Amino acid sequence: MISYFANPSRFLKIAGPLALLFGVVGFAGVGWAWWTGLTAVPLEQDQGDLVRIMFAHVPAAWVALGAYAFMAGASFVYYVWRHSLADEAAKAAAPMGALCALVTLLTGAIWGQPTWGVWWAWDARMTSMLILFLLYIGYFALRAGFDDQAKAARGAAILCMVGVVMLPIIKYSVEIRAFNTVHQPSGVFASATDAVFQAPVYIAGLGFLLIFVSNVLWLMRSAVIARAAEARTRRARSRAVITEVTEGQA
Amino acid sequence: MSGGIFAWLAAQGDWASIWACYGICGAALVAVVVNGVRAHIAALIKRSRPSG
Repeated sequence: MISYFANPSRFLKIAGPLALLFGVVGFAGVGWAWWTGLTAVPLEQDQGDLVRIMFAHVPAAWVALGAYAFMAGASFVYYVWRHSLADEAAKAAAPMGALCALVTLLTGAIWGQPTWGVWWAWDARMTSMLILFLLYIGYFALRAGFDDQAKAARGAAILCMVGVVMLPIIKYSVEIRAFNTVHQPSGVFASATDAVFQAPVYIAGLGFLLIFVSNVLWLMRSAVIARAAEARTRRARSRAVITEVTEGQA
Repeated sequence: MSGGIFAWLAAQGDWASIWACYGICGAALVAVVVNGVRAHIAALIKRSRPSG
């Protein structure tokens, strides 16, 4: 099925409508979750109103990690099979992944100040998340740092595949005692967490995921259109050169 | 003027932090959409250029 949709013309046909559908449903989901989170969710016993930050912070963190995992998978496919659409997929996932990593760091600091008393601590969870954000920045730098796009794509793919080691470190940084972090363990999926808090965070997470998929499809679609236009220009130029040479010989 | 804004923010208490987080997150989602539109327009411009 993947190879069927890896055909650029087939991909162009379905990517546009799917991207719009996912985008609209995703924004509707996030809108409902945030509205519910801000107006209907009761005060939490320890954090009071501050628990509402969870509905922005947690989905952003999920997408920051998920986008990087997706980029690593796409980079692997590109590196092994050299399929240009896989490289475009990795490239398309990077902007939203990086933005979500930045949002996670910023909202985490704003949440941390009133709850832990510090904006920032060099502990395992925060530092590993910062490293993930720097990996995203490194990815952009690598892509922009080479004139040869094939070299840039290969370098960026290697960075992605190596950097994926950060994902389990981030995930388990709050569960392994040796890391001694101030960040609380994940409680979103815990059975002790009331459904009234879980529902908005799940819906916001799903909304973020749909927006991410929509954005990836849309950016890939734009890249395929741009590549086709560039290829057409190159073909026209080479035809013009051949005509010039043959006319010169005649 | 800026003192007034900070005084207002301080008066909001926890809600200042909450609005700041939702503002940052919302702005990021808007930036994602703007980036998509920008890429699409750039691709359409490339496609509309005469190939010769």
